[in-house]
Amino acid sequence: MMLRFIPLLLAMALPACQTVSVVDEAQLGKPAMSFDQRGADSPECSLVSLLERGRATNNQSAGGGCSACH
Amino acid sequence: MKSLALLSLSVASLQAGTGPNLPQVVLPESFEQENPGNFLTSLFSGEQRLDLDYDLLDHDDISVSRTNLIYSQNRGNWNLEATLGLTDIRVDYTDPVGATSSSRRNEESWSGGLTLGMDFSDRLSSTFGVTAYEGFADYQSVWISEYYDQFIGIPFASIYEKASPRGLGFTTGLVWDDTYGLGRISATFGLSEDDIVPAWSPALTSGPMPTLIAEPTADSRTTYSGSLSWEKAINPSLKTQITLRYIDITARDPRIQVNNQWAWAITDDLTMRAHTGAAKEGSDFEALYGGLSLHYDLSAAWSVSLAGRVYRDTGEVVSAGFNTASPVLHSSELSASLAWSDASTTIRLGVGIYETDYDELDEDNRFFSDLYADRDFTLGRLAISRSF
Repeated sequence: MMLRFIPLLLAMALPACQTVSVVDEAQLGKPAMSFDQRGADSPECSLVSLLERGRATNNQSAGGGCSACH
Repeated sequence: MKSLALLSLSVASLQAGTGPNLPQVVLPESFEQENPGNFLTSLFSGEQRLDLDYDLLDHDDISVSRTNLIYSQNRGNWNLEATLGLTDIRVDYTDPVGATSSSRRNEESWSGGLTLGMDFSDRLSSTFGVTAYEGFADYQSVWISEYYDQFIGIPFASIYEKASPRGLGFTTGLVWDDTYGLGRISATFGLSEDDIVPAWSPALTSGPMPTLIAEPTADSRTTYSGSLSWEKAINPSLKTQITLRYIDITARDPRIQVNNQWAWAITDDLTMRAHTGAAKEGSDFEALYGGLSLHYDLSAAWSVSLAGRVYRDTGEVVSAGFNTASPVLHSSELSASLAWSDASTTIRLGVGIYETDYDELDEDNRFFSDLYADRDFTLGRLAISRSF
């Protein structure tokens, strides 16, 4: 279902496409722009994924894994 | 309590800037002469980083706190990451049906992991990791286990075995990083074995003299998982990432998950983040979620973040009759955090409100009405990171 929206999102982004280079690293490399935030760079409380099982991104994260799998 | 001890120990290490506290190693004099530095200094060298997180999810009858310590080191073409996590869970168990008694249960669990990475070239790298944990990973498992400990464990004490969740997992991955060209493409594969909390039910033995006994369901699961991710800078201030995951757990339909993230540097100081995602598991389970956050640099050292998220799923539908599956869930979160950072250290303090809204359980499963009750949780987060 989500797959239907992905081409649409990418199509919306196409007009914004520009070449990027190493000079853009200062902006693109900021911690706030990272998709791999961890530690103090991440504002997110990891415990919410205990309830939202459809959002969990791994089965064995820090703190445990599939202890009930109900 | 162990979490707090780990937190204070690690904060002291971070403040001292010396990395983790390690036992003193006595080396032969000849070694010291040949190595003017120090064995530990050579062991803990290269680019290093310590991350310490303390997360809290709290309500009147349920409280979960987790402390994670992550140490990472980059040395030449190699990098290493070691993680240690401690989780404290407190549950005030209640049973609205009255078949079991109210009780307070406290559980502690630990998890650890080690990941080794190697750069084959400027663009291609790989990782291999192992993770392990012991203890309950979430409060739902504690609640369900307490129910079986009383409902089955008391009348069938001679054959009942208390749950002892644990697991071991392996992951491996490949990353192709061409940031200013095709983008960053990564693939991972994971395999894990988990001992879980089984469901127990009374049953009659066969034969001429049937006897009432209790039987557990399978108490272990094997999970295969794989993911493919593509991150691409669209222009000098906008980038996106799309991730496709496949998860196959024993005795369940495979789960497919899609996640799309965007990061947009609106100005030098203001960044907006957005994400949407969905998951589907056979015809039993579907989930949709999304969120938006704003990050603003107040000054060179101080920044603030505001975030809002919504989530809904169809509930973990199990065939009719008694089961422990959760009903339809709608949830939302609103959180804010303040961070201070300098060239090597970042400290973040965050708070939030997390609201859960479950559909009512059917008649067969009223035992777990209090577990799946609507709640307004308080979220807390304290995190410290230091590079050295």
